Amino acid sequence: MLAFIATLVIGLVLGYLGQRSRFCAVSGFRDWFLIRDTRLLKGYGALLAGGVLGYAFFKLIGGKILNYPLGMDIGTAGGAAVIAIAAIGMAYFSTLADGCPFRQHVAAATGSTTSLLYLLGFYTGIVYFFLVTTNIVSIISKLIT
Amino acid sequence: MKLKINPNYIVITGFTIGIAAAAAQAFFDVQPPQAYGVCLIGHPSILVKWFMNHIFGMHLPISTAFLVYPSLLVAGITGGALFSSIKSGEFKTTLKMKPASTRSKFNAILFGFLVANFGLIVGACPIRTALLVSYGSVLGGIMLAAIIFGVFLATLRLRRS
Repeated sequence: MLAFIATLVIGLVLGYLGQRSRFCAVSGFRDWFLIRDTRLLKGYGALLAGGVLGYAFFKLIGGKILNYPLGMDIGTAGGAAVIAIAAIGMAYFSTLADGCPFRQHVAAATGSTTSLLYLLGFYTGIVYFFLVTTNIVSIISKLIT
Repeated sequence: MKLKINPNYIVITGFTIGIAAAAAQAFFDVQPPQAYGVCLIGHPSILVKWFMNHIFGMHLPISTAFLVYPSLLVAGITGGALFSSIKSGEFKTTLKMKPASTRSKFNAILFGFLVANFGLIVGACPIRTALLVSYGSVLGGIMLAAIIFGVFLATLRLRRS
C-alpha cells in the first residue's frame, strides 16, 4: 500500500515538473549531438547528481538502500551484450520518436495526439513482450549462455 | 501564446527525479530490484502485468512491492502533467496544433512498440539507467554508453533526413 501511494505522489510531482521543464532523458544527448545545446543535458546531469546524493545520503541515515554500491553486476558477457544492443535500439527509436517514455507520457497529457499514438504502441508493445518477445529472448539467452 | 520556461526547471526536475527515486526505495519499499523508484519501462510494465494477472488470470511475475496494489507512477505523471498543462493554458494550444500525417502517426505507434520491447529487454528506461549509474552499477554504465551511442546513430539519420 505504501509503494502504491508513494508512486502516485511521486508521479504527480514529477509529471508537474516534467511538463514545466520539458525534461527528456534522450533529447539532451540528441540536442548536444545536433546543435551543441546543453539545456536538456543539464537535466540528465542533475538526475545523475540527485541519484548519487540521494542514495548515499539515505543509506547514511538508515534507509533501505540494499547492495549499495552495486559494483560489478554484469552476469555474463553475452547477457551484457544483449542488454547493450537493446539499449542502443531503445535510444535510437526514442530519439526518432522525439522523446523518452517519460517525455511521451507528459506530452500525451498535454494533448499531443502523436504522443497518445506512441503510448498506444508502447502499451501494446508491453503486452506483446510478455506474450511473445520474452519467449524469443529466453531462447536466444540459452543459445548465448 | 508565448511559452515561458524557467531555465532552472530542467535542473530542478532532474535533481528531484534522482532524490525522489532514492527516497522511494529507502523509505517506501519501491524495490526489488534496486534503483527502481522511477522507471518509465518498469512501472508501466508492472501496471500492465497487474491487470493481465487480475483480469485474465495470468501469472506474470511482479515485484513484491506491487503484488497487491499496482504502481501508479504513470497515472501520477500523466495527472501531474495534465494539471500543469491546464494550469498554464498549454493544454488547449497543443490540441489545436496541425494534425500529424498518416505516416508520422504510424511511426509514432511503431516507435512506441519498439521502445517498449527493447526497453523491457534492457529492464530500464534512460532515467533508470542514470539511477543505476548513481547506484554504482557497472552494467548501468554500459547501458548509458549504449544509450548515448544509440542517440548518436539516430542523430546521423536525422541529419540526413
